[in-house]
Amino acid sequence: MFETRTVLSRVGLQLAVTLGVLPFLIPIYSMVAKSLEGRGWGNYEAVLAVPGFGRFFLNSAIVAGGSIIIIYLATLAAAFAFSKLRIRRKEVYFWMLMAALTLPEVVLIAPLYSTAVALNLLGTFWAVILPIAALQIPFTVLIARGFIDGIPDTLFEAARLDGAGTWRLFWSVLVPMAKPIAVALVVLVLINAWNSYLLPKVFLINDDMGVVTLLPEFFKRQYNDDIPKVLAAAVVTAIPTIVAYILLQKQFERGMAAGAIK
Amino acid sequence: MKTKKFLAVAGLAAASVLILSGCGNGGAADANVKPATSGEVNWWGWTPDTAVAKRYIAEFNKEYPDITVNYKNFENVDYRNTLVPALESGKGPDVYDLSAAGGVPDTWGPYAIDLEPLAKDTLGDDWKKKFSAGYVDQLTGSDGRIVSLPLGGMSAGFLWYNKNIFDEAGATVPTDYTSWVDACAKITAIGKTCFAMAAGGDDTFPTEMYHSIANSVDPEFFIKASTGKAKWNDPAGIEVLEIIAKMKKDGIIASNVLDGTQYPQANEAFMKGSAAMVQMGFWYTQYAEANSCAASMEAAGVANPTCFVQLPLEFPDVAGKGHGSQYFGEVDYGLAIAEDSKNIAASKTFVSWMTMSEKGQQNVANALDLLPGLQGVKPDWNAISLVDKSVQQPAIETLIADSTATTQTRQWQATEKSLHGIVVAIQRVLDPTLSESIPDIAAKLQDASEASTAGTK
Amino acid sequence: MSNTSIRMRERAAVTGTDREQSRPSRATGPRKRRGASGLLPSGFMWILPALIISVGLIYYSIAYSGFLSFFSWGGGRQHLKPVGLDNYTEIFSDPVFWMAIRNTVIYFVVVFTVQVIGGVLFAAAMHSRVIMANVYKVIIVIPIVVAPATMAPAHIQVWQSDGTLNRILEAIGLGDLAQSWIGQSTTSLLVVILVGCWGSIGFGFILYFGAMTQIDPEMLEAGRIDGAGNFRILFSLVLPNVRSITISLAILNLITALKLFDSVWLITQGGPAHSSEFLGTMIYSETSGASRDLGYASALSIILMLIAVATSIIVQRSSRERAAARPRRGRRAVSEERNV
Repeated sequence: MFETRTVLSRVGLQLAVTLGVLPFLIPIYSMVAKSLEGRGWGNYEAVLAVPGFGRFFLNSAIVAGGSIIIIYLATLAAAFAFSKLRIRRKEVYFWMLMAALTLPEVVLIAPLYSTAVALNLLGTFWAVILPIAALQIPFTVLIARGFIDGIPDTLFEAARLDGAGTWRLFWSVLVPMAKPIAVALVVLVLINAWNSYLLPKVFLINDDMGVVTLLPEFFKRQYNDDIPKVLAAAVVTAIPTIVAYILLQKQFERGMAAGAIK
Repeated sequence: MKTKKFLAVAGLAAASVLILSGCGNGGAADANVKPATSGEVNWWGWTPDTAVAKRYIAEFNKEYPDITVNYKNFENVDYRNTLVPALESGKGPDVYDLSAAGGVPDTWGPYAIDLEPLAKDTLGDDWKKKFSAGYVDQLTGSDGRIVSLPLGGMSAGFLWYNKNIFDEAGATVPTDYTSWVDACAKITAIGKTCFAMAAGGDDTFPTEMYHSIANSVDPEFFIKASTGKAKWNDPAGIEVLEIIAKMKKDGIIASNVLDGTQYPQANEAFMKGSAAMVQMGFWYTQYAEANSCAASMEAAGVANPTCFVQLPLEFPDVAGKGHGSQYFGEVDYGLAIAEDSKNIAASKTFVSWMTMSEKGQQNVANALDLLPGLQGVKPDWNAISLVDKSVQQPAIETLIADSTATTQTRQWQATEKSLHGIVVAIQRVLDPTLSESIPDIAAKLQDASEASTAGTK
Repeated sequence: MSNTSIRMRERAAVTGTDREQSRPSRATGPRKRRGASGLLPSGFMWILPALIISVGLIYYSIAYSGFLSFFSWGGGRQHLKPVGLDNYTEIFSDPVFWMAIRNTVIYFVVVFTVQVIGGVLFAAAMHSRVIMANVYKVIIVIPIVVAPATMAPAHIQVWQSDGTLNRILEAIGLGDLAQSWIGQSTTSLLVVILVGCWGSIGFGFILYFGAMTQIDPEMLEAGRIDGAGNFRILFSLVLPNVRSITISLAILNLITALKLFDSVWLITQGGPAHSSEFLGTMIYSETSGASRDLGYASALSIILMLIAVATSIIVQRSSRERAAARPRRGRRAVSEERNV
């Protein structure tokens, strides 16, 4: 994107980027440094020794995976329709969707709880996955719609002239074309689902259904929290998301190089 | 037009869910069932901490091995937001914590069975007198039903000090305003913080300091103002805020006071051993115990901690009227049994053991974080290893005796609005970038407050 | 709409490539679509899953909050006391509410601007030849990967009186500037805003990084031939082409600012003396107190929702009008027609 033909400009860009990320490092450094106070690496050992540690990661993966699948499919379908198909009163539906994004979580808990009880979902992963999906879909649709708007209509028209039905258009034209934004969406949903705290806390009432965000709780007490261990737990929980981001990013870039996008 | 139809459908769905959630008590057990020796009990609370609850449950299981108790701990606010819909749905806990503050017995109480028959059966007709004075009344609903039984109480209105720092600095413990300033001068001279205090944010903790200073100015003012019998901007109220301003000016209150809240900021400074004094209530007694002291020092970031000796200290006579602050205290929380519970029989066994048996209450006393609700239960000093038994045990014994004897309530008779008003007033006084006059600040506090009716009927 | 692609082609045409010739002419683009719209398959079934999940689950909550906002209610089986519009009038006469609105506006403007500029710059840099790009990407993205709630103690560590920032200031000889950043009414909002910027640039980065793949390299090449510099290309060619992302971010930031809660709550709790209060923290402290009024909190939520939806619609409408007005006057009517 930035053109760097001379050695000087390449060094300059590298330097600028390095300076640019420095402010990002300060709180990250504080966090890691603080997580090593007190017992040092013993804090991390304590986190790994929390009973059910592996199970927590599995449960979070279930919640995140379920949310991603539902959100990905619902989002692409809806964004496709909003952008490329005919819907009467399109904007009304669109803004109805957006309004769902605006209520704070604390206000949602009580009504969502009675809904979960009414639908008999309490204590199942659905009780968390569905609200997460409900809260993410409006925004992911907004993003995806914007991106799909940028895909030329002519591509779809050409495919339709070749006799492709809407279903084919979706799978063979839209899904591959929307790959770059899909990666962004998957990462964002993964982060949000992985970091969700209040919903799992309230709805996954069974003991073996704890998720990773509940890990710090083992080091929080009514009065004084063990902050170094809380931060150690936060570092440990963040690692899978960072790794997932790198892997997705790699795969996506490989896809681009192979010419799948352009 | 589709939209309208849709909204109508959504409305209908909403209404039906409301109705559905209203009738969730099918299959619940009878409230009059006799206590049983087997079953399963799900207990929810914001307190105690999970580790402490597990100790309680383990002790309980020594006597009742066939009752399984599952404890689920929530952060305070999560608890408030989760409990009601859970109880409403009929799929909530069997036993739950209930506090005395802010009309909670009327909010959560209606979901609970009346525990009076159980208390009568267990403790006899004069059962109420066997609990600490006031505790049962504070947990009673306005309809007179005993919706929960007290597990324990707490008190405040005093300070804790680090004896090691005082010894090192050659300072004597303060008894009045001037000796407090003197002590601070000596303590800051050796590079320590004199008095750890954090009054930032929205937390109502700083009201304890206001309450203590008010007690030094006029022992009746705080409760009078809380219940609308005096104004927060009466001369006494203005004097309290003036003393706070002076404490900042004279270096008793540090300049970082608004950086954070008492927990974690002030707690951490004291537990690290970098501050000589802190204002905390009775629950802080637990850190006089060697293991919890080490654990909480480590939590404050100290590697390989060596415990210091911490002792309670009467609140100094800051107003110069011959007295500091009397203690103020009340019940901390009680245990309630949900009327929709399917395990009322086992729950009754658990609740009576926890609140009304000598052994259950002994656990509470030994944890040193609550005053046991049942009178006459004292900590078993042989089972407790204090950091320095010779000085700490007598000091704590006096603290317990004085705390039990107190007649002034802590927050039970103050509304949330008044407590928040006090916090904001303190912040206005302490914020160096604001320059309002103290009478103006006090007047705003009066406007923001709301008189309480608790304990006035 | 395909404004972006069309504009992209127009830009390309302006800057002198002949790519345009190989595609249908832009004049026929909109007209053709308009004529064909009758033949387009209906998309209603396709938006149904999203509607069922989001609208189905959340609208009950909206209805419930709307209902509660006309009552005074402590929760549980306490008596629901009808108060009419009292909750609303009380909110509008509460100075704390207006403080929260003021803070929300400032927060939105600053964080959004920083997010767009920072996000675009980093995304462009990562699309360029940079050594160890993956390391930089991870650093930029960590702030949004870690939950704001867990980061709060680290931020406090940075901003407190004896924190990292003041130590850095002292080290570089600016010790006079060291102050109690969190504990002053004049600086607490600044802390919240900077923490907000820190936590949101990565988000802008991820989206812009994805969206920039849609940009035709030939168009950039054409810009270069015309003699445009790196920044000129970035802000006059690239940014307009990722406009849909910018608009989405504006709307999202608006909603985030209105709902803003956890980082504020855990760092300043809206204090001191309400100087960093937001609607989200007001609602939270109203639902969290022992003597809470859920009716009042619901009324606040409904106001929040109305502001969020109204301003989002305005943002989108005005940006669309601007987009339509810029390339060619005649397109405006068409694009509006299409979107009704």
